[in-house]
Amino acid sequence: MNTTSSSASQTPFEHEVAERLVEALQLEVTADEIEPEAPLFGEGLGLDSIDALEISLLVGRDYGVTLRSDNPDNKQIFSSLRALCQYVQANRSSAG
Amino acid sequence: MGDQTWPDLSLVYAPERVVFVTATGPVTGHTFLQAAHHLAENLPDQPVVPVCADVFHFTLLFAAALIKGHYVLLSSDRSPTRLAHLAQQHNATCVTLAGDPEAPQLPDGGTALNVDLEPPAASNLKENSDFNPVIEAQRLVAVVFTSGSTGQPVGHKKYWGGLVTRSVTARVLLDPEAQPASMVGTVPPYHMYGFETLVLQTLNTRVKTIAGSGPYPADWVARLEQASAPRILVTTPLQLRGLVKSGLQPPAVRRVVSASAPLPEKLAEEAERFLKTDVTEIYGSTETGSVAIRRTLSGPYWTWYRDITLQTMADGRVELSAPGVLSYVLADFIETGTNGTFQLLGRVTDLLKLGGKRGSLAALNAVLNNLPGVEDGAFLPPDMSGVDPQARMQAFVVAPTVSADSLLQALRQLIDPVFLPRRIVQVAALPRNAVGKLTLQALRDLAATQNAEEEIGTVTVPHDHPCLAGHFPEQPVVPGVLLLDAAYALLPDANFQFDMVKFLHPVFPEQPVVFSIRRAGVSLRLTAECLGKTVLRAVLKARPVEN
Repeated sequence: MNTTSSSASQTPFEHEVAERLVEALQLEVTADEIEPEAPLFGEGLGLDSIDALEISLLVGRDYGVTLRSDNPDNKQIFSSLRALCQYVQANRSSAG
Repeated sequence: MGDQTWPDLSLVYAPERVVFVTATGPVTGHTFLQAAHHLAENLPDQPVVPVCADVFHFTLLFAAALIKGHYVLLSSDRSPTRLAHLAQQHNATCVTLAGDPEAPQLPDGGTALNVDLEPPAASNLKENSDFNPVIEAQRLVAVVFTSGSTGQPVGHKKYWGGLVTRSVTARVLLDPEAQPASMVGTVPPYHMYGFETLVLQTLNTRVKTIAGSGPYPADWVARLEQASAPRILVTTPLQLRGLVKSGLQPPAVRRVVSASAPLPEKLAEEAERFLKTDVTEIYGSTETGSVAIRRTLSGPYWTWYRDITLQTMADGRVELSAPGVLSYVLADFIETGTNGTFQLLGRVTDLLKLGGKRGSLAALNAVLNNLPGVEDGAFLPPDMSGVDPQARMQAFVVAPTVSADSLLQALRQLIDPVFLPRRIVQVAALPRNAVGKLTLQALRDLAATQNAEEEIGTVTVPHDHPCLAGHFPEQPVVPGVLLLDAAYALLPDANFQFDMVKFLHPVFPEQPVVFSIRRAGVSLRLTAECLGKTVLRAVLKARPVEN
């Protein structure tokens, strides 16, 4: 696995979210190993709908962001760790 | 099935009523039937594997398949490969509807159809008895495949008469109010539980269902807001916990229905308070469908659905028969109460024998899940095929606010010592599958990855070690730094550094110290034992990568 280069390309916020994802979803990779641009579902990390529920609880609890499946941006939001982080940062509540 | 009297076996009960509420408004039974006929005209002449997540789309396809004279094949494994394989094996065809969330996953060779929602012409309603056909009770309408946690998926055949009878029975129990209820489901329609409630109760009773799908609590709340009171939420313990924890404020729910896994009383209590609701559980299986109900907080006694007959066999297991259902041996031991009630004693395969004592895994899991601070938890019994007499339970818990030690203390008060877990592993979530079920195999896999403790070596510090000179001259204690140094030399991976260390007991020279490591997510847990006592605990983290 290309640990060195992917770690180098994660921003600190992406790393923070990656660590929370690994913890909440019990992923068998380390936070560093999540490629910021790789898809989270399907071919990438292979997440499923239960993982989606856990992610929604995580970003709701930690960042005050509510996920809904009728959001037209969903495909984009879950296209990668980077896209998820950008969405969270753009929509986080001041309290989060 | 011979002399049985059946309820109304029409495809849609009372079709003048609203059956679904979609994003574009309510859909009556007549409009629904018109759309189903239109789909049936365009369906290949084969059984159907529906590739639809939205319960409205799914039910339309189911009705279209029946109108066409076929049945549906339901798989809880949604991978395109599995769906294509299922279709191929049964000479069926995968079908999706335009706009459904699963449409992009239609396997190659599948059929995609458009939904046409137009009210039917008046002539269709009056003169055409095929418009809302009466389906024969004995007709095969669905084959439901179990998730196959024990290996190959197994198909269970479902006949129309039995399904309608159970819908009508369940309606009286789940929707007893004067006003007909609106149902919102968080569960998929292609699993037996969702199929019976969201699909069949909508077709066969006065209940209507809110269309849509989606894995997020915000999706469910949005659909609850679309529903008129009284509302019924059809869900699982996992999703109910998600809804309660989401911080969202759904409208009042008359009744929560939960199935697929045991519902901890604590969660039932929280949900009743949070949603101002009654939380009921359904007992059933893919083989039998729903057969009993209880309000979780009313105690351990379940009430059988009507017309169920039971026969106890010589080994204590119980065979169940219901109208239109093949006889089935229950997977649980039960104790019969009064007035058609019973209590679950534990799954037949859950019965444990450890240290010569018998216990029920289900009962132990209930104790664990009811401990304060435990959000989810499960015992993993030792592999009984082994001959290790020391084999012990392990437990996995989601309990972010309590320590493993205090949980063990609490368990000690409540369960027989032979069943105490040797180790309690804190995890962020249990590996439940898409319908919230936790299989033994998933737990074993978790144990193997999260919990494999590996002995890395034994170190004995000799009494004449140079570091001891000058240390406590009368009774020298091995300095902690010496233990850390020894541990560090034994680590299989030099990339880790100490993050936290606790020294729990002194180590004296000439005493053997056994070091073990366990990987836990991104960190490494190190323990050292000496003469049966844990003397050191440490957490190591990976060093930041230097570029």
